[in-house]
Amino acid sequence: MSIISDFIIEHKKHKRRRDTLLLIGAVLAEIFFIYANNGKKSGMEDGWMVLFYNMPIVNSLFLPVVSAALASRLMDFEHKGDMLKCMYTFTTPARLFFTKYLYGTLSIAFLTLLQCAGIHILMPLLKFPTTYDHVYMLYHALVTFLTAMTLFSLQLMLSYFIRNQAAGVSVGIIGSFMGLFSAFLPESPFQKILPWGGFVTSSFVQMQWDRESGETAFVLTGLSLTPILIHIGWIAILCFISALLLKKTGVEEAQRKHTKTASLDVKIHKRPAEFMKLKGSPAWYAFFIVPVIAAIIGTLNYTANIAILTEGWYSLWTQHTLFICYFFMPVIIGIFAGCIWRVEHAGTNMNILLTHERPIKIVLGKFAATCFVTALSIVWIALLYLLSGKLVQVEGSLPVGLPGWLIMGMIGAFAICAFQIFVSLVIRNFVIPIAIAFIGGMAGVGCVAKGRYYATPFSLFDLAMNQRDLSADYAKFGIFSLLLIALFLTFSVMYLGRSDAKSNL
Amino acid sequence: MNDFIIETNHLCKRSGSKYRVRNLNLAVPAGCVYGFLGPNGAGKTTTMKLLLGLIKPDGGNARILGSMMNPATRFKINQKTGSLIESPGFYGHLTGRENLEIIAKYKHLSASDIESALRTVSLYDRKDDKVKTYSLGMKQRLGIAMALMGNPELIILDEPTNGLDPAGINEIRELIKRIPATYGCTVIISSHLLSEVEQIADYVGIINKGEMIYQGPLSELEKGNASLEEVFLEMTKGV
Repeated sequence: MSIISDFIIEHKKHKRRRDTLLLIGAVLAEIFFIYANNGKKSGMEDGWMVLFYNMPIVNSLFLPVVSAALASRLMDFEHKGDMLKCMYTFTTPARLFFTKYLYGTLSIAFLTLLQCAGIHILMPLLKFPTTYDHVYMLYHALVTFLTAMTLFSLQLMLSYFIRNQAAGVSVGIIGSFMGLFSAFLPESPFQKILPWGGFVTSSFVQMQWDRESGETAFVLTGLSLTPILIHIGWIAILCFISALLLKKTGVEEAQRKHTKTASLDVKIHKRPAEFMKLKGSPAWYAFFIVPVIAAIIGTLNYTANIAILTEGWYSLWTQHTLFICYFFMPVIIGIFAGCIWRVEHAGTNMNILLTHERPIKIVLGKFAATCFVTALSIVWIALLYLLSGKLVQVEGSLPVGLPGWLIMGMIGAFAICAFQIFVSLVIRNFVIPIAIAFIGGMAGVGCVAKGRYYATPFSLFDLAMNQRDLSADYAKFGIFSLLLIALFLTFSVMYLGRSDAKSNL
Repeated sequence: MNDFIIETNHLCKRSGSKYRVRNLNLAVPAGCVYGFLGPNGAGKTTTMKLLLGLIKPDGGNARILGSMMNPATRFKINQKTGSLIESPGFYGHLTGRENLEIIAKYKHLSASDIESALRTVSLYDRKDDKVKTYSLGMKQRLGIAMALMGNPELIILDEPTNGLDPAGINEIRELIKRIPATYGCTVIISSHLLSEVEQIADYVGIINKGEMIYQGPLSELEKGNASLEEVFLEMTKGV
């Protein structure tokens, strides 16, 4: 019975945490995303297959982040209040961990149920016939649950053993990209084993695209037992590793490291204070690693589809920047802006900051640091593009507009920086602003699709990088970018100047 | 009236419908050590945050170092102050020296200011260790060092001896006693440790449930044979 009483205690801890809202919000976002993207297919006879084709793709994008957020929410308050040292006097690490695991399992089961209900509601909404074999729904629910559980097992392990929740959340976001990429990978054992790929690899509907007619058709490929077995295996392995780690765990003091070198001189360095505060922080790695991944995938995609991509260097550019524009850049800027404010939101640091510096200088300092790294990243993207073009020997000449796209891309990205600086200032939680960046990136796609290029910082960036050959109006672009930058920076300064300083004790 | 470094006029701060600080008239004379006393949760920290403009009053105003505190003047005033509010703030992933370097950059101070601050609070030997490895008392010392750096005109310390060992308490007490005479500045120090305040303060203000119940020289309060502790307990009893 102790497991039940432990579970009730865990449930009490989550009072006022609104965890269910996260799950409901995620499912609603998914449903809305699919609804908005498939309006044209309304009334299609094989419509139900469209849903079962799209849902796994959307899942592989959303659920890694959701399971990371869920795991982090289960653990962050224990770390924050240093509760673990207190908890270990009442209960064993293993009991504490697996109670949380059970809580997460039920949450994910609830999420799966919600999603099935969502699919069920979508069918009449999109006027799809509902006469299909319900075994497909059951199979979909099972693989979704198992894949999400695999990811959750990994995430809870990270959130439990690593105090800094940024680690787990970053893995979640990278996982979401991996899941998406796995949809583009050729069928292989690697693709099947990849935990984040489970949603897509278990899909029983395939889309066939007729190159001549340009029409798409959906076909059933049959239900396979392999993904189920793989993911049960993953869950078992991850639980086993967690159990091993739990045996060794204890509340340890931060290690006191003695500096090996002789005592350093006291002096004032030239580095701006903003960069000093980021010393040792991995925040900026993503700006340089992610473009490499994007370049590799982009180049592979280019060489694989060279028959369709006939515009040489420009085609390569579109392949390189596709994911950068929509997902990567907003998210990595979001992570950086989150890190840069995180140090200030911690403890009573806001007291220090606000007694020593003007709000306008604080905001401009943070903005400048973010813009600096972003600009470097865009230069890096361009270098990678030129290098991979040389490597695969793309014919023809470089796009004439390239320097212009890069400069405009920087300005557009600066608008995202200003937006994220504001969001991460107001929302003291680390994860939510990154989720906003993630959703923002997709909203940018939506805005571009609807022709509202100038409405959001995200669509401005997309427009600037000339991802879809939209031939932007330079003057209009400049005005809107600067307007958005000024707007969000003003909001930030006003917020910092007018609101009460909050401590996070 | 310009002899007062801090003057507040009916200062109020609410949270919801409850007053955390109500109609507070604080008057701190120049060059003194002002002991700000009150039970836990009386509104001491809230008052000190109001004095630094870290939170906005819901009524009344505060005149600090001759200027009215508001969002526009806050930074100018705070350049002349040093403070330690609540528990000390710090960047745990940086060393003690780097933390002070950041403050020095903000305040445009020199390397020698950092060094002397480190020596004043006896942290020089641990300056190259990350602050997250510091003990509670060492973090407190670092916070005090941040407040003292650059000889500000007004030093605001919120329970500065929290977490210090007896030797540390004594050290800080002697340091605070010396400050007004050495640097010509004013110190306002909050505490619920009466014996401590008794030894260092010239003036005291006693606050309870957000309202000031006594303000004046310590000597006047201790007329007769009553100790500060007896007077304090009598005043805050059942109010």
